[in-house]
Amino acid sequence: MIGRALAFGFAGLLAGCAPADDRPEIVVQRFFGECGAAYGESTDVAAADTECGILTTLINRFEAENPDIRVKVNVVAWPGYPQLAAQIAAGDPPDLVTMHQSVISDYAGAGLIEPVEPLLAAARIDPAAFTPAARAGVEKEGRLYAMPWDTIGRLWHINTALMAEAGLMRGGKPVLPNSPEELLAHARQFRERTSKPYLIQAQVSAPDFHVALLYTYLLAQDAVIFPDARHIRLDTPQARAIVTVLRQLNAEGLTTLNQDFPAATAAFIQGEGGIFPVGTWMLGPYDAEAARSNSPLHGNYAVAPFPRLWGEEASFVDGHAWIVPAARRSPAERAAMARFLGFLAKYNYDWSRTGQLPAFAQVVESPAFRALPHRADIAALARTGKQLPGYVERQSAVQGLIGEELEAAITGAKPVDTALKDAERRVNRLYAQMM
Amino acid sequence: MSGLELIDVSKSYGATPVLERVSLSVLPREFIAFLGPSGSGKSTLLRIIAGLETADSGEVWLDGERIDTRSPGARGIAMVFQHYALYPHMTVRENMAFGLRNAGVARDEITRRIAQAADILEIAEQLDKKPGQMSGGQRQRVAIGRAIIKQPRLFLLDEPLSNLDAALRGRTRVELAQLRTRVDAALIMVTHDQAEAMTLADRIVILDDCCIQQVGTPAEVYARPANAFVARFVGSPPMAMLPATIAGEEAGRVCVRLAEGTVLATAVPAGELVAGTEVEVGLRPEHVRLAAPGEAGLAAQVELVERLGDRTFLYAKLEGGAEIIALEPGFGTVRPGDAVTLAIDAPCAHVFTASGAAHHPEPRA
Amino acid sequence: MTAALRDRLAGYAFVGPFLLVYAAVLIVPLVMGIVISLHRADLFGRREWIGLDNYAQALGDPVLHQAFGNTVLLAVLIVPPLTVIALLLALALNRPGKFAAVLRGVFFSSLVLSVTIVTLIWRFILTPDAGLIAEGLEAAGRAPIPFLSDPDLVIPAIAVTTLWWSLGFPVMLILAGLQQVPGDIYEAAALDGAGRWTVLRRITLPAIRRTLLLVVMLQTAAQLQLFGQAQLLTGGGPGGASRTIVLYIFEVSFGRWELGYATAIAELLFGMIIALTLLQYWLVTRHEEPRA
Repeated sequence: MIGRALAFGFAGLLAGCAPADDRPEIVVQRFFGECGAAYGESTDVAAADTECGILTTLINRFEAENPDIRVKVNVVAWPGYPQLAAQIAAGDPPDLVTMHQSVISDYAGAGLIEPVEPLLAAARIDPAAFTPAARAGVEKEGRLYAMPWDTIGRLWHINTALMAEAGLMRGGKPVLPNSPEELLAHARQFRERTSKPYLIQAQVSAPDFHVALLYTYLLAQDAVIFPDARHIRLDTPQARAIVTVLRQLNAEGLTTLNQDFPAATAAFIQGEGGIFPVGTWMLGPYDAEAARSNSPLHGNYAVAPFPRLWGEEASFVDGHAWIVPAARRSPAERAAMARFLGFLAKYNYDWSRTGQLPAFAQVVESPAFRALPHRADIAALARTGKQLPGYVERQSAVQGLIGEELEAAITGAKPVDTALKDAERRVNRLYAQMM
Repeated sequence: MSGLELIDVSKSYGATPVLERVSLSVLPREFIAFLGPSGSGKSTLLRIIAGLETADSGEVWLDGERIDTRSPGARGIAMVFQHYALYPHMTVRENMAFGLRNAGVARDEITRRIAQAADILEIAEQLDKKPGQMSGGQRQRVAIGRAIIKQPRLFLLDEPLSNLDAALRGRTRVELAQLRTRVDAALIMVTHDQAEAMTLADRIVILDDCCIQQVGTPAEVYARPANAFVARFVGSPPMAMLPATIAGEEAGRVCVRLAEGTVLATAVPAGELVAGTEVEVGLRPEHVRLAAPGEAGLAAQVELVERLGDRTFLYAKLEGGAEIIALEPGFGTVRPGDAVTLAIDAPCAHVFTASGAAHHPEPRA
Repeated sequence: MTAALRDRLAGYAFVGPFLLVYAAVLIVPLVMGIVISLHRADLFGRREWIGLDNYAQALGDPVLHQAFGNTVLLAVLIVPPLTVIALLLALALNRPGKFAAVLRGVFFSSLVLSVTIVTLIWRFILTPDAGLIAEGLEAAGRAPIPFLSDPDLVIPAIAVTTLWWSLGFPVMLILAGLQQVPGDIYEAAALDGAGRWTVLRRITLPAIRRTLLLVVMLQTAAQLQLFGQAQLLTGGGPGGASRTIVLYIFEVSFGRWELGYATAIAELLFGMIIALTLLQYWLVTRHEEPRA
């Protein structure tokens, strides 16, 4: 009896020993959501939709076409920076991580990520092939710290049927305001004629929305937001003017209130408001939605860059990129990573179907890209897009702080002056603490 | 005051009957013991009187009022629990005052009664202690005090002596005897120890197998047990039961023949006892002794000797295999294994028929 | 080696592994944290000694004051009602029978859910956009209430979510305490004519005093460290109205990379929790005599 048990035990142990797997493994960490339920093992990139779907199928396809590489994918909640910081601090970071270009300087300055020129060379990617905006986003102090993946612009997504009802369409194109006064006037007219809010805004748990608006219109006026790497200036007449208008919109009920991002997205799709100021990343999904014949957006969907309200036309842009946390890796792993980057670069057009602007100039100019719906309307972004100066660090944390104070000002919880002063003080204190 | 009346009380747990149509009358100021083996229903009966359980049918009356429909606190009854059930986080004083406070008795009356009870029970020094700080005996007195202070019409005591060691048991027995002289109420005690019941009770209620087997004074249940069960249960060591047949009669009294042939002339009236009937002869140890040299008697083999100091019990086996117990005064010299002759005081023998009916000897003139 | 010495060594051998793990996982990080809090430190290893400056900054930080107020308010809104409701439920469920057993399981089940699931459920209930309560209000003809974005409502909303989630464990603890009370005391009380309220007040509650104290101490320590519900339901907003101390520590350490400041705040929180729970313990047990 016991002899038999022992025999079974040994057999089990031996069976459990798999042959040693010495394929190189790369750990890829990304946000963009989890959609394994819809895209699971699919490798059909052309048929996939949305950021999550396209990226998932891309990675699946890479794995299928490269059976000699093991790919481990970590999906993290947006934006994933607390996790990444913890992983780096623990000494066990992933190999390739998606990161916003605005955040790269933090990690580059602290030496936490490595320059990618060797990998790009191994993947036979020429940095001259990037668009100017994309290159600017990943170049810090003369070195390239990431492979750019796209450029993100802010857009107004417009429900043209409601705009027509409000009398704000001309020649098949929506009439957009040219000044803050016109903005309020249009908004009031819209509300009168359609009884719906002019704007749909995500104001709950979404600090980046208001901050994007603020940055856009400050940059449009060439206002200096960050005079140097350790200071911010927000208590300025320009900032006050912008925030006051936003507050006015809230106070008069010209925008939706109390919605978080999922709720706002749903509201726009249901046609509960005129304009949803969000970004290029929703272009793909909304377009797909408008294609359905029974959708309120069917035939009524248009996009435009943020209208010029102050100063010149400008857009606050950012972008996604793939960074490489600093760590020791074997030559086999580095070769695998280079192959992954090269693979991604080939599919930049597919990624741009989401609505983001491609990072490779060739793709921007290709007929295929130009033929995608609404891209002509947003082509200007490639020209007018502006980012924060390269020395600005901790943009993610700063965005959170400013966003919190803006929310208080816009909902009326704090006076605008106090909120901007507090925001300035808190960000300056954060910078003062930096080592 | 008309005392406690139980009328046809029955109780079953599921399919198992515990009490079947039990009826009883208790006089005011009487001390009754419920005696019986475990499972006989005596505790259940007590709890039904207290109101902690409800009977399936039957009535309970106290002093002319029907109480089985009332809550336990409204019956005028106090109970001393087997494990005392003192409130652990209250002092002795508070334990005793609890019931009176719930009844709305005036504060100085409560103080007066506590002082009085503490005096009687000699627990005046413990009044501010908590039960956890007291010995078992002290706790019991507090439990009794808690019951006395309510001035109930009926006291219920649930196995009051079983938790105590031998020395304390004797002392407490004396205290309980004194207690009943001081209170103006009836007492009902549940016990499985027949010595307790015999020494303390005015009357003993013997319960077995869901029914009352006999109600009587200690003398009655000892000398004239109603059936074989009572005969074996009361008395320690128990009455010996020898199988026999009715041999005939003599002067109106039956003669019985034991298994090994000896014929005993009892003092039991013949009545309806027919010769040839199989019966059992009951003999208490005090009616069996060692025969004097030359005296006739039964041959027996001693198996066990119990020397208690003032008397000795001999557990012996007769020739037919029946077991018998004899009593010798003093220390005795008999040893286990000895063959002895036992003299029987035949006029003291009882006869029990197969149906359990008991026939007792007529008292000597 | 004597038998006594062998026994002692055996004892240490049994306790040793646990003590080692305890020291490594709890004591050592605690001491390290105190040391780090005396430095200006970033998340990736840079350290600069500044003495008690972090603590000075913490005491003067208005955001921390707000977080502190929020946390204390949450604890006050959660712990007393939680104890009372758990007590009532335990009293009601302390009976034999299958129905009571099933209900005990039901009330305990919310505890096994992770905080992510719980906040998902409650976001669905509370959100003014097609949430459960919003739909009900609209059906009754009233406007939906923005529980998660109104500064005055976020803390009660988080409190209710936490109450729903945390009920199971105190109920179990109190049930265990109740079941240890000997039954004959209740019978004696019945014979003493005690009504249900008197029994509860003078017999049941004093008997489970220590269990209730345990529940209050554990829950106070737990709710002062409330984190997941605040982060996932409201992100600490709006305007920091629902930011708790631990959420602030998280933001400072992993968002702003200021490890020194974050650990200083953490040490302050630790001190506060210890002081509070010891105070609770002393308040309840100072009247008890030493056990016999």
